[in-house]
Amino acid sequence: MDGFFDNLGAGLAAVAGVTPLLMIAVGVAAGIVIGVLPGLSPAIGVALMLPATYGLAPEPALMLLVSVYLAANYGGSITAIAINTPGTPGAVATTFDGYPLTRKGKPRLALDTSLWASFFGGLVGAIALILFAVPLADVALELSSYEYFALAAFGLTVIAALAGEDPAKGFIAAALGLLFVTVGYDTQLPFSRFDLGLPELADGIPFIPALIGLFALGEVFHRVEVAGRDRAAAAEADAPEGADRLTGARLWSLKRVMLKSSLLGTLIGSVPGAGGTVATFIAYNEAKRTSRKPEDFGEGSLEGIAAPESANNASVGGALIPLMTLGIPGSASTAVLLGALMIHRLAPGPQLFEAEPGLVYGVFLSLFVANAFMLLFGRLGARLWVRVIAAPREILYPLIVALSVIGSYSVESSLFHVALCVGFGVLGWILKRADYPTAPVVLGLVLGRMIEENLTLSLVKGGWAGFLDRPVALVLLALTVLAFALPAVRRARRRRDAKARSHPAESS
Amino acid sequence: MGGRRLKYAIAGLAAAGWLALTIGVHAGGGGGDAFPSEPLTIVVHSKPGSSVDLMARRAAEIAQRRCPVPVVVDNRPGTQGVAAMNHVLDAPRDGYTLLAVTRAFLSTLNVTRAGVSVDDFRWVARVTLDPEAIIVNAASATPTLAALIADAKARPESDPQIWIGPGIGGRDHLMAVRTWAALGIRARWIDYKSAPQSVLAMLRGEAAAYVGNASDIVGKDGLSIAALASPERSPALPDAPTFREQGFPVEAYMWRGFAYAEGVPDRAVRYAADLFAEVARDPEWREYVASTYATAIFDGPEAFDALVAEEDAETRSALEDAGLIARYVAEGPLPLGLAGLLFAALVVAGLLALARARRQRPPCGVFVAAGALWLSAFFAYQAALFRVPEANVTHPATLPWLWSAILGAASLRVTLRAWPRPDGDAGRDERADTRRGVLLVALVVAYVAATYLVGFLIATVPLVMVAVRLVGYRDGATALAVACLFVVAAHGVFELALGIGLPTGAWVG
Repeated sequence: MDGFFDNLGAGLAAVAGVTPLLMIAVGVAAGIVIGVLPGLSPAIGVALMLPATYGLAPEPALMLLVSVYLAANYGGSITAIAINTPGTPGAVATTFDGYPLTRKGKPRLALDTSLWASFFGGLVGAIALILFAVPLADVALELSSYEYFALAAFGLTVIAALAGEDPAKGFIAAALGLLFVTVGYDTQLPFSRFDLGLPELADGIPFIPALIGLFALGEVFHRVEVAGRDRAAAAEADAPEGADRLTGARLWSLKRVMLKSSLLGTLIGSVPGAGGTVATFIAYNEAKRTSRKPEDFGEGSLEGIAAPESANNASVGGALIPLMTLGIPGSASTAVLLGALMIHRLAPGPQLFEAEPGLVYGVFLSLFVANAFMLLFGRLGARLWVRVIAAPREILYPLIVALSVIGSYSVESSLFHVALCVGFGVLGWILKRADYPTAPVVLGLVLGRMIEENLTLSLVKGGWAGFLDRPVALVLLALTVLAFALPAVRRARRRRDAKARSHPAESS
Repeated sequence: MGGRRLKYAIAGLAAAGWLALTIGVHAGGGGGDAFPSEPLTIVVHSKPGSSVDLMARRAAEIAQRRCPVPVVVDNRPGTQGVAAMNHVLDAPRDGYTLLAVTRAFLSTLNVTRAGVSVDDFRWVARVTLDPEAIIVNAASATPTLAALIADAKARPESDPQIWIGPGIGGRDHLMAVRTWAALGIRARWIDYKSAPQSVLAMLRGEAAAYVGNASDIVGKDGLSIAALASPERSPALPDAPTFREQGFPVEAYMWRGFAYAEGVPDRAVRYAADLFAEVARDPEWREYVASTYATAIFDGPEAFDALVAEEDAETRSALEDAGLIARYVAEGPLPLGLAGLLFAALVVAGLLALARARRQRPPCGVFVAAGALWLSAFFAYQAALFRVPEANVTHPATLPWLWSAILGAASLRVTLRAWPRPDGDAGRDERADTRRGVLLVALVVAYVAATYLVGFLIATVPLVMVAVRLVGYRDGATALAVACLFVVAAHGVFELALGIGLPTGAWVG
């Protein structure tokens, strides 16, 4: 234990200084901006900032990059809430309840909830990183393709939470997403599937352009279509803004959701190959499942904002666990961080903890400072965002279109991606028009590849029998089956009950 | 009154700013007679932060000090490098666009059949060498090369030794096949998708050997190198034995370097080769390369071209020997387009019959379900044509079929169950609004086309002006001001602050 406090002291010495603090502040500010811009994911943000750190000492360099990573995960929620455009993949679930709140005239409430939830999640992730890095790394080491597959399959159960009242439509949407990700290179053989002979599709349908299309463009097309009806609704929605601020009491009521989601985010974030986006969906699902007001989800539930945002930012600390303890990058962002470590001739792993405790614990502690800056900048920025949101919708829509074009182009500088983005925009519009949920499409896009890669790898390794030795995978798969079977059974029973009674029961 | 004048003044200023920026960006360049007079761009085929990207950025930084123009890195990831190669081949062959190349391209070019070959490039400079390494778990039953050989020979054919790495038909896979031949053993290759997942599997002891690079073991307790495919031990890893000292003449390297498209003027090739020769001598560069456990070298255009031609032939024959150059998709009874039309006709006919039987117009949700039904049939048909080598455990059509089945079943359910009656009151009203949505989609398509032709800077302001009209916004001055400010801000953030290029336009580029 003495060693632990020595290390913490060395870390504190590394953080406390003008340069490290300045770098963390710069990193947080840059991270928020990168998160806000659709198309720029945290990983791209970290990579963009990497060249700027060549000249720095390793400690401030890493602190800067980790701060970008953390803050970009928060920044993505701002556009998700303001204009239904997830700035990062991890902010998709934040649109489900954040944007409805904005449409109800309460953007400030949504933004504040997201900020505090991100802050809380970031803290939990950082604490877990410092206290439990080694045991959690052992867990991460033991999990393999069997568990990754089971986790992804379990992720599919989230469809139920996203589908609304018509499960068949939810299944159609999810299956569309799952089928779309089978386009491109096969997981076992060197050929590309369903590419229609287009070399651009050989790598598959790119995730970020599809995401921007479905959410941002789909929403714009839909809103323009219903604008006449909208204006009437907007007049009603102009509620007194002052009454809808995030009070301490309201924040306190979210403590359970935030804690649970943060733990889920840390845990799932620490599994190499799963990642924060999966964690946000599962956290959203859990929050809805255990909520006292599940009917509010999708209509602007604060729990529905807090859950994915806590999970998202907690996953940062989680993802640093396998990176720092095993030298295994579990996400795209940590892969870039590994590159940054290598530039400074630092090889992450158990030896690094002994050789450079100041660096390791300094980076860990910098997460706390970065969280504090994030809260500060987020509070300042919220005022600005609220003003942007208050701009006339008519003028925001064309700008969202232009931003979607830049965002989908910027990922790979490809106009083909822009065209795909528009195609997905039309798809999103049609789905909305016909009352299909769009979120399961994204869920399918997120999980499809993870399911297929890990299932085929598991089968190649040991066939179906291989699963028998993997208790964690079996439990997750059993939960998956239960989660799909139970509602069906319940529905069947309800239908029988409804038939038995002549009048539906009145509920109070 | 004053407020109004102020608004026009702001709009005018914003528009002036936009015009100045657009003219400045598009009129810039030109350049004189000397080479180089414009920035040199190094195109990288992977995302920022990858090892090639880091190498290219460091080389660019050092080259820039010895060169009168900036040297910048441009990431064009996609399709295992084919996107970047095509970008370089499409660029003007004036010597300002270089491609960062690695040995992995040789397998890519042979496997993907993207219509690009090594002859399309002028291989300018080879700058790093990184010996391939056979990595083992020191605590396993096979901690050395001798133990690997003994174990592989002792195993029955039904339970072969497992070797792993990222990719099928890639450089690591081919290295494994070559090593087995040299060692006289049989083993089985399993693709673990990525280097991190392979390293994790080695730490867990899931496989006997992992084909990777020496730097993969650094910092990882328990992993060691059974054999390094270089003639001598690496100074950075004095404990790692070579193949040669264990009696096997296996030598294999990952190399990295730079190439031009074929047809670039000779003086540009000479200039770039001399520039990279200077980089290769730079102590800072040598130190950086050593930190990645590779060796800094320099091969000029002649030596590099000859080497690539030789290794390309080797790679092709190795791929053929491993049975990896094959047709995986069979010819179907119908061409793909025709099959798609046939399915569409069937779905439409079914829907019409259903609508007639029910005497009801299908609601919007049913049209979507019908589209989904068509999509599931289209995917299932394509998946049925996949052909697989016998030894393969899983079929590439398995999951596509599963998802198609779910999609088909759910959309059949939505199509066949009772259709909701339309609400009635919104009917006519809605159609007028829908026209506006369709117009906006058409406008967006036109905007994307305009972006392609004249670039983001020029296309965006007209888009905003037309679109705000479409949605019924009458304040043209405000719209103009906002549009111009937005374009200028986007240019500032993306191009200047983040260094991400925005579409420049084929006509005005």
